Amino acid sequence: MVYLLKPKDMCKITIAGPKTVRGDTVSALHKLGFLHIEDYIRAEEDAVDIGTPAKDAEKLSGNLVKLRSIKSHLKILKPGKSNSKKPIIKNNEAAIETIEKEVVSRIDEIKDIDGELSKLCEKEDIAGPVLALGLDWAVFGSYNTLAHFTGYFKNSVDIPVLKKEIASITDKQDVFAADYKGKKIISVFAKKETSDAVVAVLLKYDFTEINTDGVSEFKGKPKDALKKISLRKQELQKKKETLESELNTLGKNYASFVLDQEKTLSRDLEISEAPLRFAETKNAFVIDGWVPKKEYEKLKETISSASDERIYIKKSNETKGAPTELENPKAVRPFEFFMGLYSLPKYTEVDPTFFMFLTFPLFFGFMLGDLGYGILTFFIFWAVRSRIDSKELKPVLTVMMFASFMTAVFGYIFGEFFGAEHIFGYELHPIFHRLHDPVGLLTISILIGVVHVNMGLIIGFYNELKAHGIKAAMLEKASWMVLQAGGAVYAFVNPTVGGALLILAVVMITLGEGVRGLLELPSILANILSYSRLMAIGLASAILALVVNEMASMAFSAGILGAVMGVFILTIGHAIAIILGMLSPFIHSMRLHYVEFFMKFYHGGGKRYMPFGAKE
Amino acid sequence: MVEPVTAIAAALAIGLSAIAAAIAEKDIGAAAVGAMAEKEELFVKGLIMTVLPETIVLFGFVIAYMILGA
Repeated sequence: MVYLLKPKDMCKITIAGPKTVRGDTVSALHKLGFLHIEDYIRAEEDAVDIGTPAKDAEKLSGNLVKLRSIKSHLKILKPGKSNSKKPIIKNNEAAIETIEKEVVSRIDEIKDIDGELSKLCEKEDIAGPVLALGLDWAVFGSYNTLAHFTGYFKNSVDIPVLKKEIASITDKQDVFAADYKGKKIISVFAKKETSDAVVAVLLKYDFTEINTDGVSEFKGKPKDALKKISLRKQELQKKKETLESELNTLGKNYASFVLDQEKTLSRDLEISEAPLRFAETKNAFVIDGWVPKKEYEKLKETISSASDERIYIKKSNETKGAPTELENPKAVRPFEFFMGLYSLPKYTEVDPTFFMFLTFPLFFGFMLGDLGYGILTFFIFWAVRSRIDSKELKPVLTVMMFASFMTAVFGYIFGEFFGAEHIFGYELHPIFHRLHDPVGLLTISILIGVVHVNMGLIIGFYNELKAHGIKAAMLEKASWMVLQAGGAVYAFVNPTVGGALLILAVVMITLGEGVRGLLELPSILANILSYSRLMAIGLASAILALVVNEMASMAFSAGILGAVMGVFILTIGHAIAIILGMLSPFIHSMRLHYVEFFMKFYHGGGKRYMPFGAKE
Repeated sequence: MVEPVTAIAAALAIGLSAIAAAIAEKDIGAAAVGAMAEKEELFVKGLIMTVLPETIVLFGFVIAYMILGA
């Protein structure tokens, strides 16, 4: 079959050799970046063990951890610009150590400062009110007979009333009140036995207590203490800022070095830890893996020479469990995005990307079908695509450009330009007028459905033929085509012949798929009818554009103010129509592929080809 | 011109089946979005499950078409 429709050819290879050349072999393989290593999973009865990582693996991973912590502390995201420099020390490992010390010592200092600052703030929160109340530290000690409560009120409080209320509980009491930072603060001293009653009164006024534990041990006058606190705070703040700017400079200086090292270290670590995926005996190692067929010779040569011809390589034609690497021409490649979203095809399956390329833009264009929208969105997507640099978004935008192109093509066929049937007075001559002939549009949609669903069945037939032979292919896939043919003949040509075909199809399906197949019988009808959405969404988008135009033309006939309104309605209306017109055809075109089309042949669940050592 | 009763019948056929599909899709859709929030790869599976009840509308549509066409 054409190379377009199947994943890249792979062949299974087994590499074996003595442990003495393991390091060289692995480095060579890593450099090549072709080999998809099949992890060795040890069964209990196996005599062969899982490989041991190279000696330096532990040290490498330790350094990598250090480096990554430096990276996160210094908030390094991309390499620094001109003044980026490598530390003077030549040895990278020592350099990492030095940088780590520089960074960690500063981070620790900042942590200490933060700790002291938060303590100071707590003290300030108490010292302020105490000063405002005109009290001294010592009065907040603990007494044998007295209880005291200090705090503030959330709402405004009538202090004299409150004082009276507390006085009515006991005569052994004293209340201090003051304004502090816009809030009423209060300190109540009362006999211990009456404290419950006092608290009840306070709580009635939404009282929030301030913790005064340990305040009595403070030294000096509250006024001096406040001054001292604010001085110390300033000092610490300044110190912290210096440290942070130092870290900032460090980050800028070492950015390139750190990122470089991270890359090198993770590469080295990958090489050192690779043996964990091998099978090993005391003196030999075995690697199982997959290589693209056309790279095999190169791989063989390279590792043979890297290991002084002491490596044994065996190639086999097995395909079971082969990894999938989609291989498509450049124009089709963006559509691999849909496969990524779904699930990769198995190595032995047909890769449907090419069919997506053929029909996705077609369905999309058929639904939206407007010359103006198509051209406009094509340029929008083109402009966005040429300005971004995201590997994930680019294919989507390319797909949308194809879709927009088809929208313009169908717009020409339907003779629609922003919903109107003329371009600035120039009359369009639709080849097919969808608004005037919805039944014709429906017929075309259903016919598209018949073709598409049967295309799926034919691919399914091929897949089944390859996997399970002609009998399974006939019973499981061709049977559904017989069923459709039977239905068509029954309805339009000859009921007897059609009936016979239908019975044949039912028997075939039952043999092929069992009772479940029988239950699924109506699904083929539902699948085909599902394509009527091509008509429905198409009409909806055309009518939406028409409505916008009519609303605008009504506005235009109402003077100057109306004309302004009209322009407004046209812009906003068509913007909304375009956004809706992108969203719903996209989803529904996707759905027709995933549900109606793929279900006829696609299994998916392929393993992604991830060669050892290949760059991201 | 179709009889008013026929038109109402067709409208009911498609309208009620659309409501039924909407009710079914509501629950599946909510669950699918929940699952997707946890595991983004489930997007397509969620989409497929969510749109399955649309078949109901299609049958409603066919009936409506037959009522009007007869």
